[in-house]
Amino acid sequence: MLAELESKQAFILHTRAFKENQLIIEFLVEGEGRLSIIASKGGKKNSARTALLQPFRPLIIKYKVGRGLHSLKSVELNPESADIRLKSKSLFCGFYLNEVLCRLCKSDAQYDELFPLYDYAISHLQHSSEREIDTQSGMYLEAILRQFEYRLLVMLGYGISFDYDLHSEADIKADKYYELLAGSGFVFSNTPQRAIIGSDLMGIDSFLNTDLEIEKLSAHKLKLAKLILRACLHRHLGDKPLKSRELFRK
Amino acid sequence: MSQSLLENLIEQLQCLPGVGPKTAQRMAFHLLQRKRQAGKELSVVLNEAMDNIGQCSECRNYTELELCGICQNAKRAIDGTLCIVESASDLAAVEQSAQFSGRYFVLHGCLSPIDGVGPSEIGLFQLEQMLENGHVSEVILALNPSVEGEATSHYIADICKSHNISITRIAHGIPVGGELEMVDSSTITHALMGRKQF
Ligand SMILES: [Zn+2]
Repeated sequence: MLAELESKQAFILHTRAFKENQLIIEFLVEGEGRLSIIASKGGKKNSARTALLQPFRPLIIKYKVGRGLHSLKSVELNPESADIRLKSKSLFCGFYLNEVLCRLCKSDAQYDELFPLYDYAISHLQHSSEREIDTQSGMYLEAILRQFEYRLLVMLGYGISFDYDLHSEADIKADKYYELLAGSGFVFSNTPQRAIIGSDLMGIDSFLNTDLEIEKLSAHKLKLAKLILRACLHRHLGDKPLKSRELFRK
Repeated sequence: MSQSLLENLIEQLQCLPGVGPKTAQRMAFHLLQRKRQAGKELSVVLNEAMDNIGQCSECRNYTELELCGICQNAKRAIDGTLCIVESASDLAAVEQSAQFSGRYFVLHGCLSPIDGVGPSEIGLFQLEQMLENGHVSEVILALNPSVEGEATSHYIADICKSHNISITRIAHGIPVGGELEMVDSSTITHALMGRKQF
Protein backbone atom coordinates (compact mmCIF):
# COMPACT_ATOMS: atom_id res chain seq x y z
CA MET A 1 0.00 0.00 0.00
CA LEU A 2 2.65 2.50 1.04
CA ALA A 3 4.50 3.84 -1.95
CA GLU A 4 8.21 4.39 -1.48
CA LEU A 5 8.76 8.08 -0.85
CA GLU A 6 11.14 9.81 -3.19
CA SER A 7 14.28 11.47 -1.84
CA LYS A 8 14.66 15.03 -3.01
CA GLN A 9 17.23 17.75 -2.63
CA ALA A 10 15.93 20.74 -0.75
CA PHE A 11 16.79 23.97 1.03
CA ILE A 12 14.87 25.55 3.87
CA LEU A 13 13.71 29.08 3.11
CA HIS A 14 11.76 29.80 6.25
CA THR A 15 10.48 28.09 9.38
CA ARG A 16 7.67 29.04 11.69
CA ALA A 17 6.19 27.45 14.78
CA PHE A 18 2.87 25.68 14.37
CA LYS A 19 0.76 24.45 17.28
CA GLU A 20 2.66 23.10 20.27
CA ASN A 21 5.35 20.90 18.83
CA GLN A 22 5.28 21.44 15.13
CA LEU A 23 6.90 23.57 12.50
CA ILE A 24 5.70 24.72 9.13
CA ILE A 25 8.77 24.71 6.97
CA GLU A 26 8.94 26.49 3.66
CA PHE A 27 11.21 24.33 1.49
CA LEU A 28 12.66 24.88 -1.92
CA VAL A 29 12.54 21.38 -3.43
CA GLU A 30 14.37 20.26 -6.58
CA GLY A 31 12.05 19.71 -9.53
CA GLU A 32 9.12 21.16 -7.58
CA GLY A 33 9.45 24.69 -6.25
CA ARG A 34 8.35 26.19 -2.96
CA LEU A 35 6.56 23.70 -0.73
CA SER A 36 5.10 24.14 2.75
CA ILE A 37 5.85 21.01 4.72
CA ILE A 38 4.85 20.30 8.27
CA ALA A 39 7.41 18.76 10.61
CA SER A 40 7.70 17.95 14.27
CA LYS A 41 10.10 20.04 16.30
CA GLY A 42 13.47 18.46 16.97
CA GLY A 43 13.13 19.14 20.68
CA LYS A 44 15.94 19.33 23.20
CA LYS A 45 16.83 15.66 22.94
CA ASN A 46 17.38 15.88 19.23
CA SER A 47 19.74 18.77 18.73
CA ALA A 48 21.10 17.17 15.56
CA ARG A 49 17.75 17.47 13.85
CA THR A 50 17.18 21.02 15.08
CA ALA A 51 20.55 22.00 13.64
CA LEU A 52 19.59 20.45 10.30
CA LEU A 53 16.34 22.39 10.10
CA GLN A 54 18.10 25.68 9.35
CA PRO A 55 18.10 27.75 6.20
CA PHE A 56 20.83 27.32 3.56
CA ARG A 57 21.98 23.81 4.51
CA PRO A 58 21.85 21.40 1.55
CA LEU A 59 19.35 18.74 2.56
CA ILE A 60 17.85 15.53 1.29
CA ILE A 61 14.24 15.18 2.39
CA LYS A 62 11.43 12.68 2.09
CA TYR A 63 7.90 13.92 2.53
CA LYS A 64 4.40 12.63 2.23
CA VAL A 65 2.16 14.55 -0.12
CA GLY A 66 -1.03 15.71 1.54
CA ARG A 67 -4.06 17.57 0.29
CA GLY A 68 -3.16 20.76 2.15
CA LEU A 69 0.19 20.61 3.88
CA HIS A 70 2.71 17.91 3.13
CA SER A 71 4.42 16.17 6.02
CA LEU A 72 8.12 15.66 6.49
CA LYS A 73 9.19 12.05 6.91
CA SER A 74 12.96 12.33 6.99
CA VAL A 75 15.71 14.86 6.61
CA GLU A 76 19.46 14.52 6.29
CA LEU A 77 22.41 16.54 5.06
CA ASN A 78 23.04 15.98 1.36
CA PRO A 79 26.17 13.77 1.35
CA GLU A 80 26.93 14.74 -2.26
CA SER A 81 27.08 18.42 -1.51
CA ALA A 82 29.45 20.56 0.53
CA ASP A 83 27.79 21.92 3.65
CA ILE A 84 26.82 25.57 3.62
CA ARG A 85 27.69 27.88 6.53
CA LEU A 86 27.18 31.44 5.45
CA LYS A 87 28.99 34.11 7.43
CA SER A 88 28.70 37.87 7.83
CA LYS A 89 27.78 39.62 4.58
CA SER A 90 27.22 36.36 2.70
CA LEU A 91 24.67 35.42 5.32
CA PHE A 92 22.82 38.72 4.86
CA CYS A 93 22.86 38.07 1.11
CA GLY A 94 21.37 34.65 1.77
CA PHE A 95 18.52 36.26 3.71
CA TYR A 96 18.05 38.65 0.81
CA LEU A 97 17.77 35.77 -1.69
CA ASN A 98 15.22 34.03 0.51
CA GLU A 99 13.12 37.14 0.90
CA VAL A 100 13.14 37.98 -2.82
CA LEU A 101 12.30 34.40 -3.66
CA CYS A 102 9.45 34.17 -1.16
CA ARG A 103 8.03 37.51 -2.31
CA LEU A 104 8.14 36.67 -6.02
CA CYS A 105 7.40 32.94 -6.19
CA LYS A 106 4.13 31.49 -5.01
CA SER A 107 4.05 28.65 -2.55
CA ASP A 108 3.06 25.27 -3.99
CA ALA A 109 3.46 26.42 -7.56
CA GLN A 110 5.67 24.42 -9.92
CA TYR A 111 9.03 26.03 -10.67
CA ASP A 112 11.39 23.45 -12.18
CA GLU A 113 14.31 25.79 -12.68
CA LEU A 114 14.21 27.46 -9.30
CA PHE A 115 16.28 24.91 -7.39
CA PRO A 116 19.40 24.97 -9.60
CA LEU A 117 19.23 28.74 -9.76
CA TYR A 118 19.17 29.06 -5.98
CA ASP A 119 21.73 26.29 -5.50
CA TYR A 120 24.12 28.17 -7.79
CA ALA A 121 23.69 31.44 -5.89
CA ILE A 122 24.02 29.87 -2.43
CA SER A 123 27.12 27.87 -3.28
CA HIS A 124 28.77 31.02 -4.61
CA LEU A 125 27.84 32.86 -1.43
CA GLN A 126 29.47 30.03 0.49
CA HIS A 127 32.53 30.27 -1.73
CA SER A 128 32.79 33.97 -0.93
CA SER A 129 32.22 33.33 2.76
CA GLU A 130 34.99 30.69 2.91
CA ARG A 131 37.65 32.57 1.06
CA GLU A 132 36.61 35.95 2.39
CA ILE A 133 36.62 37.23 -1.18
CA ASP A 134 36.35 41.00 -1.49
CA THR A 135 34.78 41.55 1.91
CA GLN A 136 35.77 45.18 1.39
CA SER A 137 34.32 46.08 -1.99
CA GLY A 138 31.57 43.48 -1.88
CA MET A 139 31.64 43.22 -5.68
CA TYR A 140 31.66 39.46 -5.81
CA LEU A 141 28.58 39.25 -3.57
CA GLU A 142 26.85 42.01 -5.56
CA ALA A 143 27.51 40.04 -8.74
CA ILE A 144 25.94 36.88 -7.29
CA LEU A 145 22.82 38.81 -6.21
CA ARG A 146 22.44 40.48 -9.62
CA GLN A 147 22.68 37.15 -11.44
CA PHE A 148 20.11 35.65 -9.13
CA GLU A 149 17.69 38.56 -9.50
CA TYR A 150 17.98 38.56 -13.28
CA ARG A 151 17.59 34.80 -13.66
CA LEU A 152 14.64 34.74 -11.28
CA LEU A 153 12.90 37.48 -13.28
CA VAL A 154 13.57 35.59 -16.53
CA MET A 155 12.29 32.35 -15.00
CA LEU A 156 9.07 34.11 -14.01
CA GLY A 157 8.64 35.47 -17.52
CA TYR A 158 9.82 39.00 -16.79
CA GLY A 159 12.94 38.99 -18.97
CA ILE A 160 14.78 42.21 -19.84
CA SER A 161 16.16 42.83 -23.34
CA PHE A 162 19.53 44.53 -23.32
CA ASP A 163 20.36 44.29 -27.02
CA TYR A 164 17.64 46.12 -28.97
CA ASP A 165 15.42 49.18 -28.74
CA LEU A 166 11.94 47.99 -27.77
CA HIS A 167 10.24 50.59 -30.00
CA SER A 168 12.32 50.65 -33.15
CA GLU A 169 13.70 47.12 -32.72
CA ALA A 170 17.07 48.47 -33.88
CA ASP A 171 20.21 47.24 -32.12
CA ILE A 172 21.36 49.25 -29.11
CA LYS A 173 24.10 51.62 -30.29
CA ALA A 174 27.11 52.40 -28.13
CA ASP A 175 26.87 56.18 -28.55
CA LYS A 176 23.09 56.62 -28.21
CA TYR A 177 21.12 57.16 -24.99
CA TYR A 178 18.39 54.86 -23.66
CA GLU A 179 15.93 54.60 -20.84
CA LEU A 180 14.27 51.63 -19.16
CA LEU A 181 10.75 50.87 -20.32
CA ALA A 182 8.25 49.03 -18.12
CA GLY A 183 10.94 46.81 -16.63
CA SER A 184 11.29 44.84 -19.83
CA GLY A 185 13.92 46.61 -21.91
CA PHE A 186 15.19 49.92 -23.25
CA VAL A 187 14.06 52.61 -25.66
CA PHE A 188 15.88 55.49 -27.29
CA SER A 189 15.86 58.62 -25.14
CA ASN A 190 16.04 62.30 -26.05
CA THR A 191 17.11 63.38 -22.59
CA PRO A 192 20.68 62.16 -22.08
CA GLN A 193 20.80 63.64 -18.55
CA ARG A 194 18.37 60.99 -17.29
CA ALA A 195 19.35 58.16 -19.61
CA ILE A 196 21.95 55.42 -19.92
CA ILE A 197 24.52 55.43 -22.69
CA GLY A 198 24.33 52.39 -24.97
CA SER A 199 27.94 51.34 -24.37
CA ASP A 200 27.14 50.92 -20.66
CA LEU A 201 24.34 48.48 -21.44
CA MET A 202 26.59 46.26 -23.51
CA GLY A 203 27.90 43.16 -21.82
CA ILE A 204 25.49 43.34 -18.87
CA ASP A 205 23.20 40.59 -20.15
CA SER A 206 25.99 38.18 -21.02
CA PHE A 207 27.41 38.71 -17.54
CA LEU A 208 24.00 38.11 -15.96
CA ASN A 209 23.53 34.96 -18.02
CA THR A 210 26.94 33.35 -17.83
CA ASP A 211 27.98 31.44 -14.74
CA LEU A 212 31.68 31.82 -15.22
CA GLU A 213 31.79 35.55 -15.71
CA ILE A 214 30.94 36.44 -12.15
CA GLU A 215 33.99 38.66 -11.64
CA LYS A 216 34.11 40.10 -15.12
CA LEU A 217 31.93 43.18 -14.91
CA SER A 218 33.32 46.62 -14.12
CA ALA A 219 32.22 48.26 -10.88
CA HIS A 220 30.41 50.90 -12.92
CA LYS A 221 28.38 48.41 -14.97
CA LEU A 222 27.67 46.31 -11.89
CA LYS A 223 26.21 49.37 -10.20
CA LEU A 224 24.13 50.12 -13.26
CA ALA A 225 22.89 46.51 -13.35
CA LYS A 226 21.84 46.96 -9.73
CA LEU A 227 19.79 50.08 -10.51
CA ILE A 228 18.14 48.46 -13.53
CA LEU A 229 17.30 45.25 -11.68
CA ARG A 230 16.07 47.16 -8.66
CA ALA A 231 13.65 49.10 -10.85
CA CYS A 232 12.48 45.87 -12.52
CA LEU A 233 12.09 44.05 -9.19
CA HIS A 234 10.16 46.99 -7.81
CA ARG A 235 7.49 46.54 -10.49
CA HIS A 236 6.83 43.01 -9.29
CA LEU A 237 7.40 43.43 -5.55
CA GLY A 238 5.07 46.36 -5.10
CA ASP A 239 5.54 49.13 -2.57
CA LYS A 240 6.43 47.03 0.45
CA PRO A 241 10.21 47.37 0.73
CA LEU A 242 12.47 44.35 1.12
CA LYS A 243 13.26 44.06 4.81
CA SER A 244 16.60 42.35 4.26
CA ARG A 245 18.01 45.50 2.62
CA GLU A 246 18.08 46.95 6.17
CA LEU A 247 20.73 44.41 7.14
CA PHE A 248 23.37 46.11 5.04
CA ARG A 249 24.76 48.86 7.24
CA LYS A 250 26.07 51.94 5.50
CA MET B 1 -26.39 30.80 21.36
CA SER B 2 -24.08 33.07 23.27
CA GLN B 3 -21.05 31.68 25.07
CA SER B 4 -21.39 31.08 28.81
CA LEU B 5 -18.98 32.77 31.22
CA LEU B 6 -17.38 29.42 31.95
CA GLU B 7 -16.83 28.70 28.27
CA ASN B 8 -15.32 32.11 27.81
CA LEU B 9 -12.94 31.57 30.74
CA ILE B 10 -11.83 28.22 29.32
CA GLU B 11 -11.26 29.79 25.94
CA GLN B 12 -9.24 32.73 27.29
CA LEU B 13 -7.00 30.46 29.37
CA GLN B 14 -5.86 28.86 26.14
CA CYS B 15 -3.83 31.94 25.28
CA LEU B 16 -1.18 30.55 27.64
CA PRO B 17 1.61 28.50 26.05
CA GLY B 18 1.10 24.76 26.29
CA VAL B 19 -2.53 25.11 27.35
CA GLY B 20 -5.10 23.38 25.16
CA PRO B 21 -8.85 22.99 25.75
CA LYS B 22 -8.41 20.07 28.19
CA THR B 23 -5.86 21.79 30.38
CA ALA B 24 -7.80 25.06 30.26
CA GLN B 25 -10.90 23.28 31.49
CA ARG B 26 -8.97 21.67 34.32
CA MET B 27 -7.54 25.06 35.31
CA ALA B 28 -10.96 26.72 35.28
CA PHE B 29 -12.56 24.00 37.44
CA HIS B 30 -9.61 24.06 39.79
CA LEU B 31 -9.96 27.80 40.36
CA LEU B 32 -13.72 27.59 40.77
CA GLN B 33 -13.67 24.62 43.13
CA ARG B 34 -10.89 25.49 45.51
CA LYS B 35 -9.01 28.62 44.59
CA ARG B 36 -11.59 31.34 44.13
CA GLN B 37 -9.68 33.85 46.22
CA ALA B 38 -6.39 33.05 44.48
CA GLY B 39 -8.20 33.35 41.16
CA LYS B 40 -9.39 36.83 42.06
CA GLU B 41 -5.94 37.90 43.13
CA LEU B 42 -4.55 36.47 39.90
CA SER B 43 -7.00 38.50 37.87
CA VAL B 44 -6.07 41.71 39.69
CA VAL B 45 -2.33 41.25 39.32
CA LEU B 46 -2.72 40.09 35.72
CA ASN B 47 -4.64 43.23 34.92
CA GLU B 48 -2.11 45.48 36.60
CA ALA B 49 0.83 43.70 35.04
CA MET B 50 -0.60 43.98 31.54
CA ASP B 51 -1.25 47.67 32.05
CA ASN B 52 1.93 48.68 33.77
CA ILE B 53 4.83 46.44 32.80
CA GLY B 54 6.80 47.97 29.99
CA GLN B 55 10.42 47.82 28.95
CA CYS B 56 13.41 49.28 30.77
CA SER B 57 14.57 52.31 28.82
CA GLU B 58 18.18 51.13 28.97
CA CYS B 59 18.20 47.35 28.58
CA ARG B 60 14.65 46.68 27.31
CA ASN B 61 14.01 44.03 29.98
CA TYR B 62 10.47 43.94 31.36
CA THR B 63 9.85 46.29 34.26
CA GLU B 64 7.15 48.63 35.54
CA LEU B 65 9.83 51.24 36.25
CA GLU B 66 11.69 53.56 33.92
CA LEU B 67 14.89 51.67 34.77
CA CYS B 68 14.95 48.02 35.85
CA GLY B 69 16.67 46.87 39.03
CA ILE B 70 19.83 45.77 37.22
CA CYS B 71 20.24 49.07 35.38
CA GLN B 72 19.65 51.01 38.61
CA ASN B 73 22.45 49.11 40.31
CA ALA B 74 25.60 51.19 39.82
CA LYS B 75 27.83 48.22 40.71
CA ARG B 76 26.75 46.45 37.57
CA ALA B 77 28.12 49.20 35.38
CA ILE B 78 31.61 49.13 36.91
CA ASP B 79 33.29 46.65 34.59
CA GLY B 80 31.57 47.98 31.47
CA THR B 81 30.40 44.61 30.14
CA LEU B 82 27.12 44.30 28.30
CA CYS B 83 25.55 40.90 27.72
CA ILE B 84 23.16 40.73 24.76
CA VAL B 85 20.35 38.18 24.95
CA GLU B 86 17.40 37.30 22.74
CA SER B 87 14.71 37.19 25.38
CA ALA B 88 13.83 38.08 28.94
CA SER B 89 13.91 34.38 29.78
CA ASP B 90 17.47 34.11 28.44
CA LEU B 91 18.38 37.04 30.69
CA ALA B 92 16.87 35.21 33.64
CA ALA B 93 18.86 32.10 32.74
CA VAL B 94 22.18 33.97 32.63
CA GLU B 95 21.28 35.84 35.82
CA GLN B 96 20.54 32.55 37.57
CA SER B 97 24.00 31.22 36.77
CA ALA B 98 25.37 34.11 38.90
CA GLN B 99 28.44 34.19 36.66
CA PHE B 100 27.84 37.59 35.18
CA SER B 101 27.95 40.91 36.98
CA GLY B 102 27.59 43.41 34.15
CA ARG B 103 24.53 44.78 32.40
CA TYR B 104 22.23 43.35 29.76
CA PHE B 105 20.49 44.29 26.57
CA VAL B 106 17.39 42.34 25.55
CA LEU B 107 16.60 42.10 21.84
CA HIS B 108 13.20 40.41 22.14
CA GLY B 109 13.93 38.45 18.99
CA CYS B 110 16.51 37.99 16.29
CA LEU B 111 17.02 39.43 12.81
CA SER B 112 14.61 37.68 10.48
CA PRO B 113 13.75 39.87 7.49
CA ILE B 114 11.26 37.39 6.02
CA ASP B 115 9.23 37.77 9.22
CA GLY B 116 9.52 41.54 9.02
CA VAL B 117 12.13 41.73 11.78
CA GLY B 118 14.98 44.06 10.93
CA PRO B 119 17.49 45.99 13.05
CA SER B 120 15.00 48.56 14.34
CA GLU B 121 12.49 45.92 15.50
CA ILE B 122 15.03 44.39 17.88
CA GLY B 123 16.41 47.67 19.20
CA LEU B 124 19.73 47.64 17.37
CA PHE B 125 19.63 51.39 16.71
CA GLN B 126 19.13 51.96 20.44
CA LEU B 127 22.01 49.57 21.09
CA GLU B 128 24.24 51.45 18.68
CA GLN B 129 23.48 54.72 20.45
CA MET B 130 24.31 53.13 23.76
CA LEU B 131 27.66 51.90 22.43
CA GLU B 132 28.38 55.34 21.02
CA ASN B 133 27.93 56.89 24.44
CA GLY B 134 31.03 55.03 25.54
CA HIS B 135 30.13 53.39 28.85
CA VAL B 136 30.46 49.88 27.42
CA SER B 137 33.89 48.34 27.04
CA GLU B 138 32.98 44.76 26.15
CA VAL B 139 29.96 43.19 24.52
CA ILE B 140 29.19 39.54 25.24
CA LEU B 141 26.85 37.86 22.78
CA ALA B 142 24.64 35.21 24.35
CA LEU B 143 22.41 34.46 21.37
CA ASN B 144 21.03 31.14 20.24
CA PRO B 145 23.03 29.22 17.64
CA SER B 146 20.47 29.56 14.85
CA VAL B 147 21.02 31.13 11.45
CA GLU B 148 19.05 34.17 12.65
CA GLY B 149 21.16 34.37 15.81
CA GLU B 150 24.27 34.20 13.64
CA ALA B 151 23.07 37.07 11.44
CA THR B 152 22.21 39.13 14.51
CA SER B 153 25.66 38.44 15.97
CA HIS B 154 27.33 39.62 12.78
CA TYR B 155 25.28 42.78 12.69
CA ILE B 156 26.19 43.60 16.30
CA ALA B 157 29.84 42.70 15.72
CA ASP B 158 29.85 45.23 12.88
CA ILE B 159 28.55 47.96 15.19
CA CYS B 160 31.15 47.07 17.83
CA LYS B 161 33.93 47.15 15.27
CA SER B 162 33.03 50.64 14.13
CA HIS B 163 33.09 51.84 17.76
CA ASN B 164 36.22 49.89 18.75
CA ILE B 165 34.45 47.85 21.39
CA SER B 166 35.67 44.33 22.06
CA ILE B 167 33.15 41.60 21.44
CA THR B 168 33.02 37.98 22.58
CA ARG B 169 30.41 35.29 22.31
CA ILE B 170 29.51 32.59 24.76
CA ALA B 171 30.64 29.13 23.72
CA HIS B 172 27.83 26.90 22.51
CA GLY B 173 28.92 23.45 23.36
CA ILE B 174 28.02 20.02 24.55
CA PRO B 175 25.19 20.18 27.07
CA VAL B 176 25.94 18.79 30.53
CA GLY B 177 24.81 15.18 30.41
CA GLY B 178 24.95 15.15 26.62
CA GLU B 179 26.73 12.45 24.70
CA LEU B 180 29.22 13.45 22.03
CA GLU B 181 27.89 11.02 19.47
CA MET B 182 24.38 12.41 19.85
CA VAL B 183 25.52 15.94 19.20
CA ASP B 184 25.42 17.31 15.68
CA SER B 185 28.51 18.48 13.85
CA SER B 186 27.74 22.20 14.11
CA THR B 187 27.50 21.97 17.92
CA ILE B 188 30.82 20.16 17.98
CA THR B 189 32.28 22.88 15.74
CA HIS B 190 31.07 25.56 18.16
CA ALA B 191 32.33 23.59 21.15
CA LEU B 192 35.77 23.23 19.57
CA MET B 193 35.90 26.91 18.70
CA GLY B 194 35.00 27.85 22.26
CA ARG B 195 37.48 25.48 23.91
CA LYS B 196 39.49 26.61 26.94
CA GLN B 197 42.76 25.71 28.65
CA PHE B 198 42.23 22.58 30.74
ZN1 LIG C 1 17.38 47.69 32.53
